[in-house]
Amino acid sequence: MSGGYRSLFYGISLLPLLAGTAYALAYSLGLAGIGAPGFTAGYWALVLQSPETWSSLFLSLAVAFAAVLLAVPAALLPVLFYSELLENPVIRYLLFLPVSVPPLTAAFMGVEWLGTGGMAARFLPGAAGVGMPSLINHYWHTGIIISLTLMSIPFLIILFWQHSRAEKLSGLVELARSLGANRIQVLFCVAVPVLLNRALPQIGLMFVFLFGSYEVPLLLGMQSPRMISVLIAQKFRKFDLADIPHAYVLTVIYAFVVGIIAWLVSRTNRGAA
Amino acid sequence: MRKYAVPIFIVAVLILPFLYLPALSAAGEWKHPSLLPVSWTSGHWKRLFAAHGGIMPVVTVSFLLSGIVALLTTAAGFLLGRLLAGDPGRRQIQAVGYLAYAFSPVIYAYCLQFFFLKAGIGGTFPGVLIVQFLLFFPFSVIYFISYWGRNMMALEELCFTLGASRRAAWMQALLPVSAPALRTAFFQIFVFSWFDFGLTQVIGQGRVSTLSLTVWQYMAEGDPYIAAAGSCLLLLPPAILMLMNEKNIRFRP
Repeated sequence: MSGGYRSLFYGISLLPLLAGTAYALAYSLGLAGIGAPGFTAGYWALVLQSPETWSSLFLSLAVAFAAVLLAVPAALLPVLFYSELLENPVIRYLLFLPVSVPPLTAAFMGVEWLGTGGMAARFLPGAAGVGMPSLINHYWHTGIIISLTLMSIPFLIILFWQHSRAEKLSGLVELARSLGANRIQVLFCVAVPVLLNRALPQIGLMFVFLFGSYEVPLLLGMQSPRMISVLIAQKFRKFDLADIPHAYVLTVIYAFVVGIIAWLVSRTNRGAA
Repeated sequence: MRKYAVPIFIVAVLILPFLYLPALSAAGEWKHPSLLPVSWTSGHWKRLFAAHGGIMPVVTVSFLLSGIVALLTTAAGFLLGRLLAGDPGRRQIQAVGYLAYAFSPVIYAYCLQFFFLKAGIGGTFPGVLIVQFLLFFPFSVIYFISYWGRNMMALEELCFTLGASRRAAWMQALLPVSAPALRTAFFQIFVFSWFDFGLTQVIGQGRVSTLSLTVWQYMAEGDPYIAAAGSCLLLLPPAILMLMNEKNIRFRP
C-alpha cells in the first residue's frame, strides 16, 4: 500500500521536475521545440565554450557561499550569547518578523539603501562628502551579498534557536563548564559544533536557495556577469529565438548542479528538518 | 543597555523595512541628503488605490490565489504525510522533497512552461495555482511526515482501541489535536505563495497580476514612493500571520 502512496508523492514532487528537465535536455539537443533541427551538440558546445556560462556559475556559487559564510556567525551570535533575550516574546517576534520580508522587498530595500546617495550613504558620517561607492551593480556584487545575507539571518536565528532548544544546549554548556571547560572551549568545542552539526542539512538547503536566487540579483546585479537564475530567465525572455536552446542548456546545467548539491546535503541528513 | 548593543543593532537592521517602507510611502519628498522626509503626504497611497483600476482587484487575486494554494497544499500534505509516516523510504522521500522545493522557482517555471502551454493553462489563474501547488507540495508533505511521528500514530491507535470509528477518530481527536500544526503549515504556504514572483511571472505570462508582480512593476517604473506603498501591503499579511503564529514558525531559507 505504502508503495502506492510513495509513487503518488514522487509523481507530484519529482515527475514535473524530471519531465521539465528532460524536455529542456531534448530541446538543448535539437530534438524538441518549434523548428527543431534534429540532433545536434552545437548548442551545448557553444554554451560550454562561452565564458558567460562559467562566470555566471562561479558568481552564483561564490555569492551563495559568501552570504552563508556571513549569515551563519551573525545568526549564531544572538542564539549563543543572548539566549535570555530570545525568551522574551516581544524580542523574539521582532527577530522573527524579518522572515516575512519577501525577496522582492529585500531587493527594493537594497536599491534604496545601498546606492550612491542612498540611505546608508546619508547615515554614514563623511560618506556623503566622499561619495560612498554605489553597492548596486557593484563589481564585487556587494549589494547582492549584503541583501541575501540579511535575508538569511532571521531564518538561521530561528533554526539555531530551535536546535538549541531541541538539543537542550544550555544543559550541555553547563555540563561542560562544570567539567572544567573554559568559555572558549565551551563555545568552540560544544555549542557551535552542536548547532552547526544539527543545522548542516538546512544550511546546505539555504545554499541551494541562494545559489538560485532571482529577485535580488535581478534588481541589484550588473549586466555581466549575471547570477544563473537571472541569466537563464533573460535568455528565455529575449525575443531572439536563437537564444532559447542556450537557455535550455543552462537549465540542464543548473538542474545538474542543484542535483549534486542536494545529493551532498542528503548525505549529511542526520538531523532532518 | 550597552551589553545588548549587538543584538539591538541586528534587530534594528533586520526590521528596517518595517520602518523605512511606511515612511517612504508617506513621504512628500525624501531625497539625498535628507535623513528624514522633508514633508508628508497621503498622495502615494491615494494613487496606489486609484491608478490603473486600483490595487484592490490585484490584492483580491493574490489573496484568493494564496488562500486556495495554501488550503489545497496543506490538506494534501496532511493526508499524504499520514500515509507515508511509517514508510521505510522516508529518508529518500525527504531528500527528494528538499531537492524539489529548493529548486529556483523561476527556472522551475521555465522547465514546465511548455507543458502548461500545451495544456492550455499558461497565462491563467488555474495554471498559476497548479504550478504553485506543485512547488509547495513537497514542503507540505515533508512537514507533515515529521509531524505524524510516534505520538500521533499512538493517538490514532488509542482512538481505535477505545472503539472509535475512523470518522470519529479523525473528527474528534486527530483533526482537533492537529489544529496548530495545520495552521502553521497553512500560514507558511500562504506566505510562500504570497511572496512568489518567478512562478507567477513565467506561468502567468503577465495575464495573472498578483501583488508582488504589480509592486515589481512600480519598482521597474522607477517610482519608489508608490513601490514602497505597495511593499507595505506585501509585508502586512505575513507580519499579522506571524504575530498569530510566532511560536510555531518553521524553517525555510
